[in-house]
Amino acid sequence: MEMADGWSSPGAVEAEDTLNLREIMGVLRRHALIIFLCMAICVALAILAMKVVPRKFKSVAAIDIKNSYFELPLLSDFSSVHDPSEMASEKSALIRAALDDAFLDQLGNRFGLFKAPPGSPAHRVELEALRSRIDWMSTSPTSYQFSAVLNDPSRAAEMNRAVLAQVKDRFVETRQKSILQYRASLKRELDALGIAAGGAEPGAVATGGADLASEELAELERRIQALKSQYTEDHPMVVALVRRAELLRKMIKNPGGGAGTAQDGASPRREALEGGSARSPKSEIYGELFKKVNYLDVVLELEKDRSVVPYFDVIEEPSIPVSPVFPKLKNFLLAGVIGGGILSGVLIGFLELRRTAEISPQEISAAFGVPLLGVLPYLNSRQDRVIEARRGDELNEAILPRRS
Amino acid sequence: MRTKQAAPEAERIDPEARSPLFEYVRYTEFKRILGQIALSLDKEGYNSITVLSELPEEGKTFFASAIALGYSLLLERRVLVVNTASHAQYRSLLHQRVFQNGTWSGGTAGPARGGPPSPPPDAAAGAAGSDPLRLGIDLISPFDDGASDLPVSSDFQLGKYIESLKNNYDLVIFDTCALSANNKNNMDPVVIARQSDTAILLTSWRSMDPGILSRARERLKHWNIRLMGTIFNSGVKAEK
Repeated sequence: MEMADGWSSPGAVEAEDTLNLREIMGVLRRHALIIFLCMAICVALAILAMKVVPRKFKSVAAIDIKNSYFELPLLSDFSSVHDPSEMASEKSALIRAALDDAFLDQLGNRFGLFKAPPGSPAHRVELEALRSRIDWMSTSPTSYQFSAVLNDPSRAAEMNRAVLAQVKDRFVETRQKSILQYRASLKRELDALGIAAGGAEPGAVATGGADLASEELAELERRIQALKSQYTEDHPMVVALVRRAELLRKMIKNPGGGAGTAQDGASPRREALEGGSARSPKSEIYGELFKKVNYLDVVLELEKDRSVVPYFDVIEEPSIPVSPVFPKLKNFLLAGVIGGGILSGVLIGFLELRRTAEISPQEISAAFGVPLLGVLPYLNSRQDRVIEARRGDELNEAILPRRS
Repeated sequence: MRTKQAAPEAERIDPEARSPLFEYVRYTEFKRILGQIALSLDKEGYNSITVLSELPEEGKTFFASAIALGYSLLLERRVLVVNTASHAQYRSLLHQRVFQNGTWSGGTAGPARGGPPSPPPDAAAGAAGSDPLRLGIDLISPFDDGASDLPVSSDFQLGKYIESLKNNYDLVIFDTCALSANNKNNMDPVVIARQSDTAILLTSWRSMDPGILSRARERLKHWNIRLMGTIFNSGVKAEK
């Protein structure tokens, strides 16, 4: 670097100069011991911290929620959600709703994670901390991965299992609620037509006129044939439809009997159904609605057993982790090395800033155009007090010969 | 001007109890510097040298003392040290204590005020004398202890005065104040340096700054001071 008056100072660093590699290596060489010590201390502290911090284990599971969740096997117009992205959003919303505060509260109490009294701000903090231990994400349009973190591997797996069960329950309940709501609205429509559909409870056999029963039977037989081409006779859906068909055949054979046969109140219905040889529009509508209600009863019957849910599969059971997810040795070592590097960098920077400009005695002589006659030695002994010419008293003592 | 008189007999020091400076001048690094200076001076035929530094307290007095002692003790030559700076008391003591013990004892009353000192004894006789500590060093200081006033033209007159003494000595060393000093009570080091044959610039960690050294170089160049070389005093620490 050229400064004013022709002084060249390769070692000095000015803001407008760029450091070259040799200077950087020189600085690093000069402070190699500091770098080594800082690294060693920080790595040692990191390893010590690793032994002290509580370990965390992460259990992972995966589920698959098919898009058939939004459909009914016998009814094509059950759901208004058809777009795949909309379905994914619905599923995510349901999962989020499943992991609500009430569930987390129960989960925290079950695993002994709460210390603060319920309702207190500290309890709220604990609740949020528990929420952060549970993580889920979508791995495909229908698959989701769930994870739970605790300080014990088996407890982590157990918590993950509880989360999956809660999610499954939420999905099943929501679907059943939807089906019941749909069925209830269909019943209201039937009542509005002046015809009591009967069978208020799910699974109850609805009755109707022989014509309607025949129509329904014909439809059922068509459906059964279609299903048998895909499934065996033991398929639950096939079994349910066959059972329904048998009931209808009995009704047709014995039109006056059958459970839930309407009394006087059914007269308006019967008139609507049997009035005239040609079927009126009302009877057409009634037929459709009646059919749908029956189909809904079939579905509710099918999905009564929550252990067998066709649209919800556990792809990967909650794992029992073998090694902790925190702390990890390589992460702590890296943190120690980085910390040591930063610390040594700060120390070296401070030391280098304190140094005077790197002008050597030879460079001074060269700048003056005269030879360097020598460097007065600095003796590390009591004689160095001779060289300390600033302190008069010490100098006197150093220079004065010792009196005998 | 006053010259210091030789120490009276009663104040002779135990030869074994010498000051650390006596050991310092025997160290290899210093002896090499001494040899280099002596060689350069002999080669050029110079016999007067001024010790300069840009900043105060860089070790000029110490260096002048060490060179004088080295010349006398190791090279067995006669040296005159001229103190041209109004040092603090401890520095004048440095000169006094070191050299007073080593001045020749020739003449009882010493030179009259303003007159030249008595000629030194024969160096060989001095070396073969019973007192191994007898040093061929004289000290001239225009300043009394505690004196504050100085005749205005004393620095310009000094050259002529020393000229009359030079033949009595192998080397005359001028100890000066700092080039950056601005003290009317001091003799100007530039004036002194121009009246000597050559000069040595003393640097240290204190003056290891491009700005300071640039000023020194400009000053010496402007006033055409003949520099023999530079000496770096590694024992003086940088300012904090």
